[in-house]
Amino acid sequence: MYSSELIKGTVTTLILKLLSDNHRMYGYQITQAITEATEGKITLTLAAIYPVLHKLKASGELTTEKEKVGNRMRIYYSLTNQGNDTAQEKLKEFADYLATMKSLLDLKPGLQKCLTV
Amino acid sequence: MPDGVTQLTKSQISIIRARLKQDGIKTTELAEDLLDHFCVAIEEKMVEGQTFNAALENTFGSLQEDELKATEMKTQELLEGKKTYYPNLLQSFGLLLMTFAISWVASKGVQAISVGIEDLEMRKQWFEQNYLLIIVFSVVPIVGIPIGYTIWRKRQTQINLPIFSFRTVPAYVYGVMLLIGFLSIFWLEPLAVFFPFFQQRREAELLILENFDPLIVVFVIVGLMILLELLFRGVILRGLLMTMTSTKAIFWSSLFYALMMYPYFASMFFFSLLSGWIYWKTRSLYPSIFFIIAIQFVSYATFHFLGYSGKLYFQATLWNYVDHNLLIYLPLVIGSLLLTVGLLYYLNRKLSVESQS
Repeated sequence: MYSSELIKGTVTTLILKLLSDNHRMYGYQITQAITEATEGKITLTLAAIYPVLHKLKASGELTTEKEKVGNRMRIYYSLTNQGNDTAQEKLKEFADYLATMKSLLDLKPGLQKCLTV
Repeated sequence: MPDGVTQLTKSQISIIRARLKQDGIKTTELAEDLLDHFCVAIEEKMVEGQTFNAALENTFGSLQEDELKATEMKTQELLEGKKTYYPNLLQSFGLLLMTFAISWVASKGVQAISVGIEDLEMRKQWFEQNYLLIIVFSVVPIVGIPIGYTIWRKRQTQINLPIFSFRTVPAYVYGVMLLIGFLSIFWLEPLAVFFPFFQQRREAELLILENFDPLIVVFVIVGLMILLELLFRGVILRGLLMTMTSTKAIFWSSLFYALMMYPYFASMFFFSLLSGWIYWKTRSLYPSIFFIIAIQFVSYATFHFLGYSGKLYFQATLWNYVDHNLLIYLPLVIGSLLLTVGLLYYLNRKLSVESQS
């Protein structure tokens, strides 16, 4: 399990990535997909995932479809064109961020010196 | 996913829905999302052999402390709180006082301008003729505050959300609301008949309106009604709905609205309750604005039909029209009230069904 501070900034990117790989998903499916893909290292709480889904919908990145399942309604989320662009941007930004962090935490000689001062 | 293997019954789903509400979930779409989430989680446990009650308790028990409350708060914060202005009860009252204050200052301004008119009667008349315009221009800055705040927040957060909630609603909603407005004239009339206090003021207002070009009257009334709906439904009721139950929010916003519309307090309170209710059901300002404007014109049209033509306003009532015959009057009042209740029941059911599909 990673700390919530570490996960916090990545939830939007994770959701956008999942939805760009899958045509449409519902809330529970997204949480399970993240848990399964990370072998339980990342388990999102309700407060981490649903507010973000609703924010992304309000800002036009996601669109929803309702479908009747048994005796209840299910809300499916999918990316809009705008959401698709945002997903690509976010993934690119995240990959760049990871590369930066890697080079930073690899502790190159010069940096190591700085950190020990 | 084990969809379809075990399906919860309607009563089991109702138990989960009630539990979510009890634990603090208020936002409609979030509640729908979470209901499905919990149903799937519970169904999975039932497939493993647990009873419904055990699965229910285990699923809710696996949550962190106040996780549902946190989800609700964070959703509201992300959707509304950081981007749009929403007043609580005290701030709503503050907005009302500000409207009164600006209205008072505006009226003093008009008085100051009219000092140039020599004749005292002319000055009085000029002032009376500008009465509606004063109200319109005092409401404009008040409505401007939340709009300005929202635009400012939007620029900061870069998230596009509408300032006011305008959603398209089915055409029958307008038809039913128009009918309800028309019927309310009959069942609200006893108030005007038995409270002379309302009559004098309305009579004066009608005389003032007659000094205007009818087009200006229509423009000012429509403009004023739209502005007041933006303020009382679009800002105040929307804000109150986030901090209290829908019943309380509609009641308080209607009370403030009726105070603003004094001396038509009683009738405007009822109209405001209806307007607030339809806003809450549809989350759209279209039907509430339509209803409030329609009621004005239906009401004036009815009074003209009942024989108002320069004579005392309060004589133009259905009560006089039927020659004080209770055998005709009472069934009309009670019948219109019952029909209104029936229409509201119909609309409530139809809108509830639609929100689920």
